[in-house]
Amino acid sequence: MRKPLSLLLVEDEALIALNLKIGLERAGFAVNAVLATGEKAVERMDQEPADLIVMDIRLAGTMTGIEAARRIRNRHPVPIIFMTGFTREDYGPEIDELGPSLLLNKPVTSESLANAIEEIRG
Amino acid sequence: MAYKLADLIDIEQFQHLQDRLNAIYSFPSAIIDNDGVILTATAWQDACTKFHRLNPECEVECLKSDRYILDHLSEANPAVSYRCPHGLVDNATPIIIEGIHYGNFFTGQFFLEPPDLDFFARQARRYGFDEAAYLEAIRKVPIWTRDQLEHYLYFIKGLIEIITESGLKKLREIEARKKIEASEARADVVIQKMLDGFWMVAADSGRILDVNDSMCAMLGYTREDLLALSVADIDAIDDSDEVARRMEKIASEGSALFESRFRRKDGSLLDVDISVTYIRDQNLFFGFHHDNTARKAAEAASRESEDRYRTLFEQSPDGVVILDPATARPLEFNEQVCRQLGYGREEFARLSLADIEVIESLEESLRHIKKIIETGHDEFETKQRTKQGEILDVLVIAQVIRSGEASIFHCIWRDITERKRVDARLKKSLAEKETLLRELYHRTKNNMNVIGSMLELQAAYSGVPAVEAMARDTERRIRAMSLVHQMLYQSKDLSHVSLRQYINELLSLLLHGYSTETRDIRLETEIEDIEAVIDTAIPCGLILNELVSNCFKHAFPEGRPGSVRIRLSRVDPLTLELVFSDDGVGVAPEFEYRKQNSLGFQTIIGLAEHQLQGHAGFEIDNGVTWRIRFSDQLYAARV
Repeated sequence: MRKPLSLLLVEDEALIALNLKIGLERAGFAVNAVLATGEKAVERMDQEPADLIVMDIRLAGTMTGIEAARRIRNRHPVPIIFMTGFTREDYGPEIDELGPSLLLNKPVTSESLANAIEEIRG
Repeated sequence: MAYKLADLIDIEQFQHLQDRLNAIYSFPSAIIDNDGVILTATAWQDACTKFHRLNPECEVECLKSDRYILDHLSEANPAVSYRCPHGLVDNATPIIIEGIHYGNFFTGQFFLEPPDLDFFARQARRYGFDEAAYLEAIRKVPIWTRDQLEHYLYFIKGLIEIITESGLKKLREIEARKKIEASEARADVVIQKMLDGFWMVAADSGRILDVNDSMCAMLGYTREDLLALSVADIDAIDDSDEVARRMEKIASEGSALFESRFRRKDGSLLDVDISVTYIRDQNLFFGFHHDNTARKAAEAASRESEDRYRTLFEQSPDGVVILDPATARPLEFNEQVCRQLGYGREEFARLSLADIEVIESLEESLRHIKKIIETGHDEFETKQRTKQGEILDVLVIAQVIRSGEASIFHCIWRDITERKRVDARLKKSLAEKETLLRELYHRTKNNMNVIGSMLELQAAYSGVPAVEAMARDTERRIRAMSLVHQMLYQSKDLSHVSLRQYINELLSLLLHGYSTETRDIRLETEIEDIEAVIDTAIPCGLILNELVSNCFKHAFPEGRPGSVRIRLSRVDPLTLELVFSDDGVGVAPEFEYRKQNSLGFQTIIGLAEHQLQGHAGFEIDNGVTWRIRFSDQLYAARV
């Protein structure tokens, strides 16, 4: 049996975050932390790196999910699953530059997220 | 005209004179013109005509004599003389009048000393003449002295010259008179037949003395009528003193050209151009007049047309400038140009395009003008500087107007500064509204997702499976709606979504949600690409959500394999048809779909028939088939 993944969930909408967290935990994943801003995500990764990040793009605070991912990627080569209510046209090129990642269109269900995690994990 | 001698001399009369003279002095003589025609002749000697010139051998000598005389005519003073080998003398005097040689006067066949009869007796024997008859003829030949001959020649030459000169003068007079008569006849015909009116008026009385046919026709009088009138009767100037003053002025200046107006016999007026000449020695006025009614009318029309265009030009709401293409300076311009650029007329007239144009340099403007002259037309926007330094946005409509060899460079300068400002404000406002609307769609979709999450959470915490199932159904309905908002946010016009794309994405979500139940279900879709507004797309999506959810939940129990077919098509310009069918377990034959209490059925029928004003049909065959028709034209686009 593989070592359980440690996940970092970055989503500023509390109810959506909570719903995803419960769904992921039911699916057997360990969600290390649920954060609402990019700044906190960067800080958290330096303190306690996770194996995978689920990142909303539009976040509270001044940093977007993409900006946060860029900073994190400099030090931690972890896969990132982005979620956005916008379109691939809006963010696609920037995300492609960041290396291993996936983009899911919102609304993201716990099931589709779990499938995406399995896919990126390989 | 070139005359012949016979034209100048009365030949018959001169022959008579010559005969008389010959009766006094037997003197053979002849006048022969330059063509060799013998005009007069008298007293030829028998010695010559009956002997010398009849014998061919002897005649050779006579011909030598003729030749010598002709060859030496130019030396004649007054005559050229030759003593022939037979001893007789011949003379010729050229008849020259005013340097022109008309012919010759010949005299001869006489002796200047008594003849040597022995010589002639030898001649008779040599040429075989009858000696007695020949010597008799010789004896008859007159013997003259040189003095006699000279007097005779001077006399005859003078006489011929007097007669010829007189004839020449007479002929010339006749010819000149004929010319004058012909010219007068021509002038008469011209005057009578010319289209312009002609009249001759006595300067002292103003009486009309002569008129031509055109004058009569133009004024509607007969010739007799007019000859009984005076100038004042036909001149439309009412003041007779004025007519008199004018005639006086013409008399003093000799001639005049002026416009005037005649009164016809019927009282109507005739505009005329008049040319009058005063003949002082006859105290007459000669006048010609030309009907200028048509010209005056054309001039008036032209003036009127010019006034009209001038008004259009001046009152144009746009600046209008005629530019000199070579210098880019204004040749003509209207008030509006001055107003919009803040210059006075005189100031503007001194400006060059370079003083006004902001974007192009003078060289660029001149190049641009050259190009426009080649193409004939251009329309472009530029910026111009007013006198006060304000920058105007200007639409330039440049047109090359070609008139014969000349070209006019006509420009309309339309001040579009305000329009551009309004356009920019509108564009900004539109962009703001677009942003706002996209944001709104996005937030609506987001909020729907949050509501969906709330329901899921609530269900998860309830621990009651029926509540969880209910929450999931509701969440799917919310998601079907939220998907439209997402697509609207992505759509170009923020108003329409592609039903094909929407249905495919919705089906993908549903398949994902029912991944366990649909493992062995084949989904076939045939969706026409139809653009729909939100008011059509949402109910359509909700109907499909119910049909598919219901099917996945009940039609294929316990992993039963099968297929589902979904088709959307336009059946007429107003109506779409959504056909959903499955080959699942179906329903009992007595199943009445309209009497079903389930929320799903009521939702389908309510949305199709109440909201979309269509019809929901249900058929039981190999499984079930729903046939839903609705209009996609109930709602117009709202943005």
